[in-house]
Amino acid sequence: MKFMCEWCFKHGAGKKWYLNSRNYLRETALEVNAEEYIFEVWKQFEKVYLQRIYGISMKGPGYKFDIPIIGRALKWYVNSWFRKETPLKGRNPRRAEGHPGQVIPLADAKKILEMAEPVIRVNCACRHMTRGIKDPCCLAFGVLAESVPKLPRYVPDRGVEPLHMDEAQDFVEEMNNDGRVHTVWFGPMPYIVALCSCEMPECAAMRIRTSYDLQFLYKGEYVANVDFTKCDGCQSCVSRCSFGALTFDGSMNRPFIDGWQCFGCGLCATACPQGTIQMKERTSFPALKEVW
Amino acid sequence: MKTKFLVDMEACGDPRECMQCMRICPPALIIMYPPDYESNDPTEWKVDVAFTDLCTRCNACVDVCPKEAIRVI
Repeated sequence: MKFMCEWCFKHGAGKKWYLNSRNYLRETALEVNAEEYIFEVWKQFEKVYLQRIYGISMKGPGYKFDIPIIGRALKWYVNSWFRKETPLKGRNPRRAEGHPGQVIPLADAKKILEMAEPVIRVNCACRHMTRGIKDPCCLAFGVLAESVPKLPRYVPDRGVEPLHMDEAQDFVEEMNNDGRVHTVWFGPMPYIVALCSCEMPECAAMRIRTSYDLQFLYKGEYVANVDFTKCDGCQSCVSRCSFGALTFDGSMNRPFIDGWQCFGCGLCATACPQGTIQMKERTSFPALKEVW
Repeated sequence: MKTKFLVDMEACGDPRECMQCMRICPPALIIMYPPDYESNDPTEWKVDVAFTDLCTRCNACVDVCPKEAIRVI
């Protein structure tokens, strides 16, 4: 990936990929057979993590990736699934082919909700898988919103109800206050199906990105940057980072944000009472513009 | 040393009625799934760990299991 986000270049029409309204259209869903694809992904969700690759059980992927040469090849192979763009129809949902996501800040999450239609709340598939709990914190769009009622384990106890744009925006703001990381998902590329409210350790995407460095979840379009002249050292930001990028620098009485570790979720920025932390375009940092 | 998560599914029974191991696991590694989600057969539901290499072997699941069905080796 060179000098700008590859997906924005291919699917953004001059904007960020998730702000291009074409990626939410029914025509786009039909072009990539999204309905069948995303139904299969959610139906078989748990099995993605317990599959075999050419007969090799993927239990303990860390052990497998550590095998010399073969491990690197396996990792390359698994990564190639997520970024797969062809064939437009017929990508394998059990391998999440063409189904990567990206971290986004609250402001962009709200812009997405101006474009997606319909929007419903569904139970988080990750939390259902790992904790057996029903937490309706994922916002499903378009064909996913239509598929979920066919999968009872993801239907919230209160039932399926479409959210108005402002209700959905209030909801993501509430998630932001709770420290949830906003992520947006292709399903399959370039059609966009969901806006999730992720957290460690339940979220499978954050888990395989942070523990195995698999490119299932990409870093965001922004990097947090602190204006030290305004920071009063209140430490409101310190508990907000899920990626281990932010620590408090006591000797200078200000936070230290490691730009190499920052995923651009903006949770530190939304917690700052002084508005000291700004989300700056990743591409404006020459050394970080290829770090996704 | 590779970690293995072993469950005696006969002793466990229907994990949907318990789920204590899933709830207690600090890094949320335990997955509950049936071979086929259309199936409502309790003998088909299983608990397992996919990311065994991330397990610290804290044994919280072993201690919490009321059926003593879990072994982590």
